[in-house]
Amino acid sequence: MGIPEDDLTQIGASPATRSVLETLKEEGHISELVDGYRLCIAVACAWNEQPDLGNRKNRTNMFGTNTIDSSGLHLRVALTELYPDYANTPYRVAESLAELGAKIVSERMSGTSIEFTELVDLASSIGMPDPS
Amino acid sequence: MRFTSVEITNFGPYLGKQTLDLPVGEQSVLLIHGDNMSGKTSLFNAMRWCLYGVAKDRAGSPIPTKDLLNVNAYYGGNKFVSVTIRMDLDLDAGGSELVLTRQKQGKKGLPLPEKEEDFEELLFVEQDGKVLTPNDFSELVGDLIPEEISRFFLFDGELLKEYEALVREGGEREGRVVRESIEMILGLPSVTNGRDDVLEVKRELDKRLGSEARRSKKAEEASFRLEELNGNLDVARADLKSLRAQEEKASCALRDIDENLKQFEESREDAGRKVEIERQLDSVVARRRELMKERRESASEIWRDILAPRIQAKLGDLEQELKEQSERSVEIASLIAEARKLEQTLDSGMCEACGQEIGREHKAKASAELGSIDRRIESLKLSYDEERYKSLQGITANLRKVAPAGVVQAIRQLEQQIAETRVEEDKRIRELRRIKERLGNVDDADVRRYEKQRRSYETEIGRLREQISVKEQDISDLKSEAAQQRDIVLKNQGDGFSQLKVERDLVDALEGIFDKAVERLTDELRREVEARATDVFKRLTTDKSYSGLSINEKYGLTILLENGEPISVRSAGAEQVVALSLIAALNMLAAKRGPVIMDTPLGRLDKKHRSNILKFLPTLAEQVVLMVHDGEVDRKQDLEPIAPWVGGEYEIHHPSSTESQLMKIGGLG
Repeated sequence: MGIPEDDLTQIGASPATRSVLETLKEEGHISELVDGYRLCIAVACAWNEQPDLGNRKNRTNMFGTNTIDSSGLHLRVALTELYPDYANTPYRVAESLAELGAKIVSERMSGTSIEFTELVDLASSIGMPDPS
Repeated sequence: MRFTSVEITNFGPYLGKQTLDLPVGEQSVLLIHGDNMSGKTSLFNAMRWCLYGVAKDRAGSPIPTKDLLNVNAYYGGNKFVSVTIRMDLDLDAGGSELVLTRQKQGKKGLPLPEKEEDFEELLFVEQDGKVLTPNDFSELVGDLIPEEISRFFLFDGELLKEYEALVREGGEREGRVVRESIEMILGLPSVTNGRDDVLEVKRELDKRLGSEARRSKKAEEASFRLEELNGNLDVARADLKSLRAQEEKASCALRDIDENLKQFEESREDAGRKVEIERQLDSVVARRRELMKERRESASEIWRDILAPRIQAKLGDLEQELKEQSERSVEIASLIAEARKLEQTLDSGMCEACGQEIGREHKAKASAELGSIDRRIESLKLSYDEERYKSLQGITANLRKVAPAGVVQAIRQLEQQIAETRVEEDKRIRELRRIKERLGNVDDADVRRYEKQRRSYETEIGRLREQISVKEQDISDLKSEAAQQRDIVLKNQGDGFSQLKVERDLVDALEGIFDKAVERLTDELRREVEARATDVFKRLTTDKSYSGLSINEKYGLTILLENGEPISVRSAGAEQVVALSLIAALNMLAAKRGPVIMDTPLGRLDKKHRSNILKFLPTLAEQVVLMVHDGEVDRKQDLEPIAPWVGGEYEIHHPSSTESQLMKIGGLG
């Protein structure tokens, strides 16, 4: 399947990702699902995950892109620059990264609790240059 | 016998292995400082648990193994608790080292062992490097510090409660255990056992005398009567033994009932405690929810901090590129301006600086220079992309806007506090569960039933005591008649009896000696205890109107005024001073010696009494371990006078509610 050239205006999630977001909200870790969605995108991005734009299987729309990127389109800017190969479709990148990030977040959860600072520390260690 | 070290692993708040080295020799006092709830009592319990397999909570109930295990170790997969005590049995006489280890671990295949049967116990014993069998463990401990007398070595608040029964009217039953312990530590059983042996020999001699006596008619009759009396005596003694056993059994049952009733009493305390813990739990949960809310609010922007390392890396690359493009742009502009000047000079043929016509040579030079500049400009234009330059300016400006939110520090602090509240919550939930388990068994009908049984046992014990008294009189009468018949037998026999008679007289004399010895030893011991305890009491008390202590049958001590009258009411502090005086006296007179380990013994005392007791402690035993908190003693003022005797000093650090560490702060090399 080719890479779509048009970007999304509605951004979605698979049932698995939605479940992770709902757990985060139910356990009181986030106020709104969109906070968790952005968290998942950032985690996948920090983990240097590569988006798979050809696959939107099982995803149903959750947010408008203006909801996910309400403050000055910063997410769009960041993704455009961090993933220049898909510069025209940053929200498709965001959606794919959210799926990948939700898996990482789910794995990092201990029972129903999660430490955000652990994610920050891991992101920093991934971002550090390889000492070798 | 002295302890040389105690190693504890995953016991209570002590996570991992922690070692306590104990000093021996002249500086044999070990001080352990720790705040309330830091782990002093756990350390004390660890020693008791290693020796006797039981650790007790504040109510005196055994603590389940799961609750002994450190919470972090338990949930972190290290489901075992272990304590090792190394002791020096007789250093002066060449030394003999004994190493005792008790360990309990979750059975394999059980991820979260809960009940006692989910754990297996391992015992290790080593003497002078030689490994002994686990069966030797309790035998050696029973020989060195029998559990019955351990209360005088491992001294905590519990002993004070028991001790109070010794001086309370009607406290016979509760005080009996302590009295027996006192007599045991003083070595009385060695004499009472000897008396029993003599009685056995006497019975045997009477039989032999009887068979010899049948040779004469009169002696024969007396002998038969003697035999009959001895038979009756045997029956009477057996009856007495049986009655005493029944009385003991009934007393035990009564003690159990009292214990059960005490638990109901504790249940009432538990009910109050439950309400308090539920209130604390609500408060901890509310606090955690508040912290979670704060974290949620900050967490909406945490994605920026997670993304920050990648953005920073990308920004670094882009800014470098921007810098290079910028430098090229500046250089190109500068070269173009220079080229324009040269072109104007060549076109006008006049020097811009001096306004004079330029010569041919200069024209050629300027022309060459212009060519060189043009070439440089062309070369720079190849690596300079104006559009990219402008775009980079926009991109970097945009990326800088995706700056870190800077909420990590606040969230880190919140997460730490949340983790602490979770531990607090877990502790209270566990305590509530324990209380609920205890309260679950409480039934008013049980209380009524126990009280009825108690009355019935009290009547039964009264009846048995009367029968015992009658039986003791019977025995005395039988013994007296047996003595008369024995005289008749002996008077009517020839020389053949002389040897047996001598032996019989000897045994009679021995019996008398033992009877008197038991009586005298008990009296002497009591007097010795009274005298020693009085000496110590006078050193410890600050009230000069007290003339000393008077001991009762149960070894209970009463304070005497100068006129010899006993004081009727004494304060909790005075109770503690008297109890310490008794313990000191017992340690001075004890048949068995060991270290004295005291958990927070100075709590009820005023400054002067505290000072007196601290000065006295180094002489209390060959080795003294004193666990104190700063509210109990002033390290500088109170402890300075005993500094010459202190061979080691530890502090219990308590970084979190589930973790304590023993930190050596002085002594022990």
